Amino acid sequence: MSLTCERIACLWIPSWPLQALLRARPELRTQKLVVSDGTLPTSLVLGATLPLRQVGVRVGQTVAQARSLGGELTVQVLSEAHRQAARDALYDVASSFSPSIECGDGYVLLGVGDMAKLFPDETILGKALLVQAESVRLHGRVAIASRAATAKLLARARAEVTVVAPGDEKLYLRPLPLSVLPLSAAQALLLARFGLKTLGDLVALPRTKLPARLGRDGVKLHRLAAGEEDAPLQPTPPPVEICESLELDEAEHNLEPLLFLLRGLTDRMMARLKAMSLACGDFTVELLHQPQGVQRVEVKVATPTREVATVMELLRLSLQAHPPETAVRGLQVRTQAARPRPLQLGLFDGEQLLPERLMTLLSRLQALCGDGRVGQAAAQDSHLPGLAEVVRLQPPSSRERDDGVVSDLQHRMALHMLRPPRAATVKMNGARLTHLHSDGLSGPVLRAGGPYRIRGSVGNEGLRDYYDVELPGGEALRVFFDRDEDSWFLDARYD
Amino acid sequence: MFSQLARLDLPPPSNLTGLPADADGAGSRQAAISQLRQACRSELRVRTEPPIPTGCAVIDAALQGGLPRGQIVEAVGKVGRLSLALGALAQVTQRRELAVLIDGADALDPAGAAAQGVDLRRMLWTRVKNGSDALRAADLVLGAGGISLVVLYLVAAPDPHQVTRAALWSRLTLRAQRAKAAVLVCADRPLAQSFAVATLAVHDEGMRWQDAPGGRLQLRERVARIEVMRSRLGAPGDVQPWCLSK
Repeated sequence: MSLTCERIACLWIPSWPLQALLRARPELRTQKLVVSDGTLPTSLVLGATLPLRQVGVRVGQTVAQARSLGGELTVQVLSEAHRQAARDALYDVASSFSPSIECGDGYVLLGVGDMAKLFPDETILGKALLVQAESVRLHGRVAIASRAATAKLLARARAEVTVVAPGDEKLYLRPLPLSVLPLSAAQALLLARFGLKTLGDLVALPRTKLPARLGRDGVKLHRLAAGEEDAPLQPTPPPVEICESLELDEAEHNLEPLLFLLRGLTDRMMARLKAMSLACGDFTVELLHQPQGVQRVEVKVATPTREVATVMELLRLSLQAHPPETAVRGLQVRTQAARPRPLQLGLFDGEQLLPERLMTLLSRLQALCGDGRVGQAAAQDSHLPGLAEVVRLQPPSSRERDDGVVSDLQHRMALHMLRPPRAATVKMNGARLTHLHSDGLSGPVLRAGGPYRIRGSVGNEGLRDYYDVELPGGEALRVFFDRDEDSWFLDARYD
Repeated sequence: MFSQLARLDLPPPSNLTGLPADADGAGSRQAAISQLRQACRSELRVRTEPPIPTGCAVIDAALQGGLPRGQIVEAVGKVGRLSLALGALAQVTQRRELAVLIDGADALDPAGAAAQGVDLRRMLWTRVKNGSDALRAADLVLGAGGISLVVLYLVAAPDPHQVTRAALWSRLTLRAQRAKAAVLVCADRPLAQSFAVATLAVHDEGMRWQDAPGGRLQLRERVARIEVMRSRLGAPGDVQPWCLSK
C-alpha cells in the first residue's frame, strides 16, 4: 500500500538485554551466556543465548535455575554503558529515516507518513529499517500502522515486517496473545483465571465493566487491545555524542590486545555514524585504569571520516605516543558526529592526497620525528631573521586547483640555518672583521658586509649586529654580535 | 622493434642487431643509434608525466625539462643545493601541488623560502634527526601518494653513512615510481649512486660583492658552475654557469 500522512513504524528488538550485550561482545554469541540483573544466584535472567534456550532456560528464571538447566555457563550483567550505547544506536537507525522519533529500551517509534517519495511501498520501508538495524548489529522486527501503540504491539508479536492498513487494526490484533500487553503479574494472573488468551478475548469484554476488575488500567488495556489507543509520539532528543564502551573481564596492559578491542568499538561507532549519514570528527579514547583512574587520549582528525582503517591508524599512533600507564579494565570511545566534507575530484587530475591520508601521514611522521617537528614552516613573529616554527599543515582546498601561471621565480642564495647558532670567535681591527673561528671553520675574513643592526622586539631585547662574511674557499657566512650577551655567533651559511 | 625501425625509415635488418655491419657504415650506425635514442626518449616522454621544472634554465636543460617524476635526482657539492631545492619547491607549490621537504639539518629559513616563491601552505616541512629517519620519512611520504616533489636535504645531516645502503634506495625508487613523484636528494656527496637518474654537482666559482653606502661592502651574488656528473636523461659531462643573487 502507498504511504499516507499519519503512519508510524515501530522497530522492535527482541531479547533486548541479550542483543545489547552481544552487540558489544559479539564473541559471546555462540557461548552458553546468560544476561542477568546481577551476579547472585537469585538474580533474574534477562536473556540467554540459543544453546541455553534449547535446554529450557527462559527469561524470568533465576541464575541458579539457569545453571541447573544449562550446566556450566557464563553470566554477564548488562552495564548501563552497554544499554545506553545500544539505545543510541537504535536512535541512530531511526534518525536516518525520520526526525520524529520516540526511543526506548528495545524499541523505537518513528513517524513515516511523508516518505512516499522515498519508498514506494511500506513493506520496502520496513525492510530498509531492518537492514539499517542489522548494520549496527541489532536484529529486529518492524510493524507499520496508523497508531503508535498498535505498531508496537504488532512489532512485538509478529516476525519480519507487518503493514496494517488503516481500519484493519482489530483484524491484526485480535489473534495476538495477551502477553504482548504491558500487564503486571497480578493482571496477567487475573486474565488467565478469566480464561482469556488473546487480545480478541479481551476486546470482547464490555469496556465499562473492566475497571471494576482490573483497576484504572483496565480501560487503557482494552483500548490497546482494540487498537484504539492514540497516544502521540513523545520525541526523544538525539544523543549528544556517539559513545561506545567496553568493560574487560581481565585487566590488560599491552597495547596490541587493547587495539584489537578498540577496533570493535570503532567498527560499531562508524556503523552508527554511517546510519546517520555522518562521519567521525575528533574523538577521545578513555582508558579506565585498574583499580581506578581514567587516562584520556585525544585524537585529532583532519577532516570527518568514516574510514575505520584511518581512525585505527591514528588511534594506534596516539596510543603509542601515550601508552597505558597501568593495566586497563575498560575502554570507551566517544566522538562528536560531524558532517562529512564533500570532495570533488577531477577526472583528469593526478592522484591527490586526501585529508584522511594526510592526517595519517602527519601522525606517522610525528611518531618518527617527534612532536613539533612536522607541519607547515612558518616564520616566528620577530624581526630577527631565521627564526622558524612549525604550525599545523592545512593545504588549501583542491577546489582552488587551476593551471596556475607560475610567476617569474628567480633563484637566490638560500640560507642554510644553523640551529642553534654556533658560538664564534671574531677578531676585529677597528670596525673591520679580520678573523673568524667557529664550528670547525677558521680563517681570515676576506670580505665582510655590515653591520645590519636588528632588534628582535620592542625595547632593547635581542639587539644584534649582523655581518655577511667571506672566508677563503668560497665559504659565505652570516654572523652576528649579540649585544645583550656580548658574544659572537655563527648564524647561517649562504648556500 | 621492427615496427620502430619501420617508423624511423631505417633499412630492414640485415643481421641480428638490425644495424649495418660493414666498417664503412660506422657513421650511419651512430646516426641510427642516436635516432633510436631520440625515438625511445620521445616514447618515454609520451608515457610519463611531464617533468617538474626547477626554475633554473641550465638545470632544466640538463634534465630534459626538469626533475622527472618517478625518478631520483641528486644534487651534490658544496654550494647551491638548498637554492636548487627551494627553486623546485617554489615551482611545485606555485602550481598548487603538494611538496615535502625532509630536512636533515633543520636548515630551512621559512622567510627566505617564502621570498623565493615557495608557498609554505603547500609544503610539508619534516625535520628528521638523522639520515636513516630521513629515508624512512621519505618512504612514508611516497607511500601516502599525492605528493609531487620530495626533497631530501641531507647536507650536514648527522650520520650520513646510514643512508648509503642500496636496499633503501631501491625501495625508495620503487615508491617514487608508484607515487609518480620527483625525488631530489641534496647532499655533500652522491648517496643514491646508480639509483639516481641524474647526478648534478654544483661547484663554487666565487662571490661577488658591491659597494654600499657608507663605504661598506654588500654581498651581491654567488657564481657557481653546474656539472652533470652522470645522467640517463641527457649527455653527461655538460658544464654550465649558474648565478645566484642574494
